[in-house]
Amino acid sequence: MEDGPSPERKAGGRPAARGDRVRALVAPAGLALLALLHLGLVLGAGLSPWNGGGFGMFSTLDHEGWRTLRLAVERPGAAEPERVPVPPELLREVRRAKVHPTRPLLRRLALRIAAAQPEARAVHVEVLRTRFDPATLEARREPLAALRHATEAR
Amino acid sequence: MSAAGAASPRLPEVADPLALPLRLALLVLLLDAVMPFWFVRLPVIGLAALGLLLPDLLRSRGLWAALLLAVAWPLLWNWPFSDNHDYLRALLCLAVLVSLGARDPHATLADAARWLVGGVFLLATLWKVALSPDYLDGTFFRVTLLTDTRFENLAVLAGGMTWESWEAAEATFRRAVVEGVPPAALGLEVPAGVRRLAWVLTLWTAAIEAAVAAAFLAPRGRALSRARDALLLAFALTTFAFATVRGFGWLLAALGAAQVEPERRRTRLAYVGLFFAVELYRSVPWHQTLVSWLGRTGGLPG
Repeated sequence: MEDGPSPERKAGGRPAARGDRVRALVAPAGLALLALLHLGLVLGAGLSPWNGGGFGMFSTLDHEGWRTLRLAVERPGAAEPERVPVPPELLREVRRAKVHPTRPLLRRLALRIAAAQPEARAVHVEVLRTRFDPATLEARREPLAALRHATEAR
Repeated sequence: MSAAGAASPRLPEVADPLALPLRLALLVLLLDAVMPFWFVRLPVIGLAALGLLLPDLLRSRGLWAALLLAVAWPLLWNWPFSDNHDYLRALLCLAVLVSLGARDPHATLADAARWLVGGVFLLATLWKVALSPDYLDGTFFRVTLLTDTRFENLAVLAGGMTWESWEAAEATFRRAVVEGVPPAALGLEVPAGVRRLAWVLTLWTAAIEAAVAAAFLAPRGRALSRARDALLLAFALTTFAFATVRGFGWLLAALGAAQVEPERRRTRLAYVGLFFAVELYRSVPWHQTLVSWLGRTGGLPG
């Protein structure tokens, strides 16, 4: 077994063969691509920096624990949309939408709620994140994504 | 004694610069297969166990290709819930797979591991100092120390709180968030010890992560690069004492062992020690023991 640098190794420990040096960059290149994708999704699609492989954990309070998802339905005759609780069978979808609130995910959620609330004229899905005042730590909810899905006329 | 007359090294497994990190990586895959569903977990456990039990499979590209597949597909299927170290686990499998086809597998894996560690810490540093809106002003740690149960022990040990005062503070803080008022309106003042601790953690974490990134990305042979193992071990031994993210700590141990120069056996052994330290931190209730020994006065003087 090896107990010292191989003859093929350059001084300083790097692989001597050019092909080997290129191979060594494959996984790090994967990390770089992942980081770019992550940054794009955080800035463009509301992904939480804690998720998606960008190594933003423990850098910000914008994570699932401090995000809120609100569901509400418009009923005939009601002046305001009425808040509805999250059905237990939709908890995973709700978590997914909180962490990465894309329109397709919010729409899918709205459709599931609409199916469970046949009398609703429309379903509102809203995702908010919490920002804290640096001086007082007062929490302020900030809208991140919202969707109103009008149901078909029944 | 070998035919050449030289003594065989003690702990030959540690002397083999490629086998040890591969075995560490397989141990991580085996022991940290904390995945939500059995059909995700079992293939990883089975393949990792085979790699450890059958020496011929340790350097098999087929095995590592199968492992890569087994750990990578859940990243898509379970999107976006996977932790950061789940991605790093897949990247480590990719690095091993690609390196095993190289002329010098150890040097190739060592290079890849160094870039991976440097890259991960560079990203972590960038998020903290450049991209996050609430890190550098101390808000992140002030809120986290009062609300995240993973930091409760630290808040008690070094923030001047007691277990009871922490639980009361956490409940009050969350009520303040729900009611949309400052915590002070409900009688909660952030203890001075917690404020000081928040600043120390803010600055220390950013500094050590930046230092690790710089050391691992610096050209080999420079003084900064020679300090990289000490810096990474310092980061791991201080961080995982409280943030017991076992999988990440173990992956750093495997990557660290992979990039150590072949002749530096003691440093490789140090990464094996880190592997055990991470689990000791997690398993042994040393925080509670230390608080009791300090006389339940709320931890170290805040």
